[in-house]
Amino acid sequence: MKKSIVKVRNLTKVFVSGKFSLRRTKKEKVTAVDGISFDIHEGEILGLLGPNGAGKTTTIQMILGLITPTSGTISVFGKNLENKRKEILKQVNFSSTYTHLPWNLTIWENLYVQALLYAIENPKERVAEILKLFSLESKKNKEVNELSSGWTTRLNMAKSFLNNPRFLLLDEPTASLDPESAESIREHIRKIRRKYQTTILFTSHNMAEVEDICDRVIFLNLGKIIARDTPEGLAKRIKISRVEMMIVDGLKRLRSIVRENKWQVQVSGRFTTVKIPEADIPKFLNMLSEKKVSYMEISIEKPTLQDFFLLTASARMRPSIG
Amino acid sequence: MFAWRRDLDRLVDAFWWATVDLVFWGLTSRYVEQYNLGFDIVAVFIGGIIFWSVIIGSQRDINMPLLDEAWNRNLINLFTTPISLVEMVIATVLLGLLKLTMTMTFLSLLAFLLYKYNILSNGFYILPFFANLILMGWTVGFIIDGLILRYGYKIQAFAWALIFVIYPFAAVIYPVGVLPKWAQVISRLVPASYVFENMRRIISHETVNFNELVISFLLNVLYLTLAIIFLKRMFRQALKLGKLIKLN
Repeated sequence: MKKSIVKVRNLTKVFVSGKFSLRRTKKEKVTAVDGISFDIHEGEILGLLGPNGAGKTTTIQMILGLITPTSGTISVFGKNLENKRKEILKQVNFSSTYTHLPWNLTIWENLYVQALLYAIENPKERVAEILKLFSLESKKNKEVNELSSGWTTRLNMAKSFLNNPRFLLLDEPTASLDPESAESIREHIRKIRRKYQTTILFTSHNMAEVEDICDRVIFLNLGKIIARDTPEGLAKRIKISRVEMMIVDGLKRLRSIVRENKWQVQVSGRFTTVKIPEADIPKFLNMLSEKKVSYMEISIEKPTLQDFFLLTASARMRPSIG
Repeated sequence: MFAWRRDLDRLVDAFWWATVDLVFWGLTSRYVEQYNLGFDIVAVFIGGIIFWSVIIGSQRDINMPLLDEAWNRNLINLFTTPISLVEMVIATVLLGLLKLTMTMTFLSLLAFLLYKYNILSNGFYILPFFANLILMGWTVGFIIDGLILRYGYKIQAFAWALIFVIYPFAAVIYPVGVLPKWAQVISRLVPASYVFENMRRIISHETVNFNELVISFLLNVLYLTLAIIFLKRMFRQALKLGKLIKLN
C-alpha cells in the first residue's frame, strides 16, 4: 500500500458572519466543512467532487493554508500544516481557473518571479524547461493580457509545476476552456503525472474528466464526505441504466409498460429514453417484443459518475451512500 | 520591478502627482511671498510639499503592492508560495524605498530648477527628517493594509482618507502654535509635526531641536510596532474568516 502524503483529520470550518444593526449584532454560522477525514496517497490523483457549496474549495483552501480551520488537523508529508507551513509549501503548488498571474507581466517574467518566490535553484534554466514542457516558448514574451483563456490556463498549469511539486492542487483547471484546450490540459496533467509521479488533488464539474483522470474520488455534500471510491465504483452504485431507442410504432404501448413497472421514460425528439434497473433490461426487451413495440437504433448506457453526481446532488443525501 | 517599465499608473504615481503638488504649491507660495512675511515662504511651502510627499509616497508604496495583487487576482498565488508575511512586508518596504528615492531625487531637482529650493540646505538633518517621515508613512500604510485584509475593498475609501485626517495635525505648512490648544495636543502625538517644525527652524536660521527629532523617532517606533502587530492580527483574522479569498 502506498503511503499517505496528506492526512486530513476531523476537519471543520464554521464561518461566522456578523450583520451589524443598531440594536444588536446578529451572527450567522455556516458550517462549510463538517468533520471530514481522508488521506491522499503518494502518486495518486484524488478527485474532490460535490455540488456548489459542498465544501470542496474551502477544503482545498484549508490545505493550502489560506483559511484557518475551526478544528481538525492537516498534515502534509508528515508535517503539521499549522506550524510547518513554509516547509510544506516549498513542495506544494496550486492552479485554479479563478486565480491569475499579473496581467501586465510577460509569461517569462511571471514564471521567473514565481521561480524566485519558490527559491528554485537556477531559476532561468528551470523557466526555460517549463516553457518547453508546456509548449509556451513561442509566447514567452507575450503579456498575460494578450493571451486567450486556453493559454492563460496553460500558463497557470506551467506555474504550478515550476517547483516540481510533490503535491499539486488543481481547482477546476479546465473550467471555461473549449473541449480541445481542456483535452490539451488533461494531456499535460497525464504527462506530468507519468513523468514525476506527482500527487494531485483535483476538482472539476466535468464528470467525464474526473472519470478519465482520477484514481479515486471523494464526494462531498453539505460539508460532509458522503462517498469515497474509484470513479467506476461510484458509478456502479447507481443501478439504473438508460435504454435509448427510436420508436417506430407503439409509443403508447411503451408508456404503458413503463408505467406498470414504475420505470421512467423521457421522449426527446425522435428518441425515447427509459431509465431502468440494469437487471430489468432483459424483461423490458421481452415486453417490448410481446406488446409488438417496434423500434430501431437501440443503445444501452451504463451508469456514469455523472449519474451518481446528479442523483446525489439533487437528493442532497446525508451520509448514507458508501 | 518588471511591471514598472510598462505600467503608466506607477510612473504617474511616482512622478506626476508629486510634480503637480510641487508646481501648484510653488505658485501659491510665490503669490503669498508678495505679502513679505519676513521669512522664505517659498522654502516653507516647497519643503513642506516635498517632505509631505515622503509620507504619502512611503504609505502608498506599502498599500499599492497589496491592492495590485488583489486587482490582478494574484493574491492566492502569492500566499500559496513559501513566502511569509514578514518576508512579503520586507520586500514591499525595500521596493518602496527604491521608488521613493527615485521620486524624491526627481522632485528635489525639479524644486531646485523651478524655485531654487535646495533640499540639501537641511544639511545632516535631512536624514532624521526622511527617516521619521518614512516610518510614519509605513505606519499608516500597514494600518491601511490591515484594514483592507480584514474588511476588503469596502474599507478602501476610508483607508485612503486616513492620512488626510492626520494632515492638519502634522503642521506641514503652518506652525503647531497656530492650532487651537486641543489640536496642539494631538499634533504633539503626530511624529511628522516635529519634522516640519524643525524644517521651518532651518529655513528661518534657528537652531534645530534635536530632542524633538528623538521624540518623533520614539513615537514612530511605538506606532510602527503597534501597526505591525495590528497588521499581523488582521492577517490572522483574514485567514480565519476567509477574507483573503474574497479579496482575490
